[in-house]
Amino acid sequence: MSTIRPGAGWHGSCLAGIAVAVMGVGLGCGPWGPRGILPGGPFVGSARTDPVPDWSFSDEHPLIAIETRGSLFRHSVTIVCIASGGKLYVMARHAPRKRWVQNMEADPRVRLRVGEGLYAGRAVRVRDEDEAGEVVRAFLRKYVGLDVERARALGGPPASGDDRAEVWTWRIDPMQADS
Amino acid sequence: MRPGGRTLRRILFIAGLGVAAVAVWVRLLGGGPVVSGIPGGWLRGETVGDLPSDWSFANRAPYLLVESRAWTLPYSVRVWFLAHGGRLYLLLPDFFGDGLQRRLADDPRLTVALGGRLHPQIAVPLPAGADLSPLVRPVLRRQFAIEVEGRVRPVRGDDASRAGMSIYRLDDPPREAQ
Repeated sequence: MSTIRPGAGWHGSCLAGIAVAVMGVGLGCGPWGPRGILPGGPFVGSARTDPVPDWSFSDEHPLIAIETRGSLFRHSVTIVCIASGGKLYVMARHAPRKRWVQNMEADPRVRLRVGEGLYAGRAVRVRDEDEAGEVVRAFLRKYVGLDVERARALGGPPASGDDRAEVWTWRIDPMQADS
Repeated sequence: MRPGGRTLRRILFIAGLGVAAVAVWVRLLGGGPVVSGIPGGWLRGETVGDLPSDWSFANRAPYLLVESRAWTLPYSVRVWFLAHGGRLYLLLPDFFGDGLQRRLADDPRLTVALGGRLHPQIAVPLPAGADLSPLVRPVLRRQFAIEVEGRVRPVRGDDASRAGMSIYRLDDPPREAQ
């Protein structure tokens, strides 16, 4: 004869409850892109692949979402964006630690959700000092509300003992025809 | 009611309780924000009687953990800051949301947590038009790896961008209020 241990049903219910909660969170932020600070999965919808002549409209959006390609899954997060000279740029603080950055360094193909629009592009790391300087001036104007005469982006990792963040910047170029 | 329906309701009820318990723990009892960007509850630690006269030591921390004393529910967040000229300054960009700014407008008292100790302070907003360059330069370098030269002006009026930044100096509260 089988015996039923007291509390076994309770434990089962708890486990089921946790599973439901995890599923709820997963469904809420998982397959349809990020929700605020919570990362998500692939975007739903087809992205525009033709070149965007002027990204200035992105200034109306303080935050956008980016979808990157991991080795197994697509990974999307909410990030800041900067329009400078008609081009679109994205930045990451403490860049080497971030999964979306690692994904993007391995595979530069990205998709961006800017407002209601979905755009495909290719992330190209900005290493030119003049270009980076213009981008950080635009960043300060948009996000910190400051107008500065001149600005310089400090590239590369900080020296030992320097507590500054490591910030990387990418330009989002149009997707290449063969990709 | 069918047995299956009762079980499902029970599972959903327990799941709801679990989510609510986690939310309460994160929001109220977590001892500050658990996830950066999501406000937390009451800060824990020993309240300091003798406040530091020079806060330069605080610059070793990447962020400052503060709790507003406004409104009913506790509200603690990590913020950008700088110790400059012996005082603490909070730098609150609008794109992080304006939850703390709105609370400070209602009640400027806040608590600063540093090294496991709680320091009561009063947030005083800096006047518009102040030359921010000496204050902002070290912050931009540390937080964004940006070096700026020349004059630094806030973007204002028709020229305003979508985001701005509120800067507060933290003063010691009057002795009787501590």
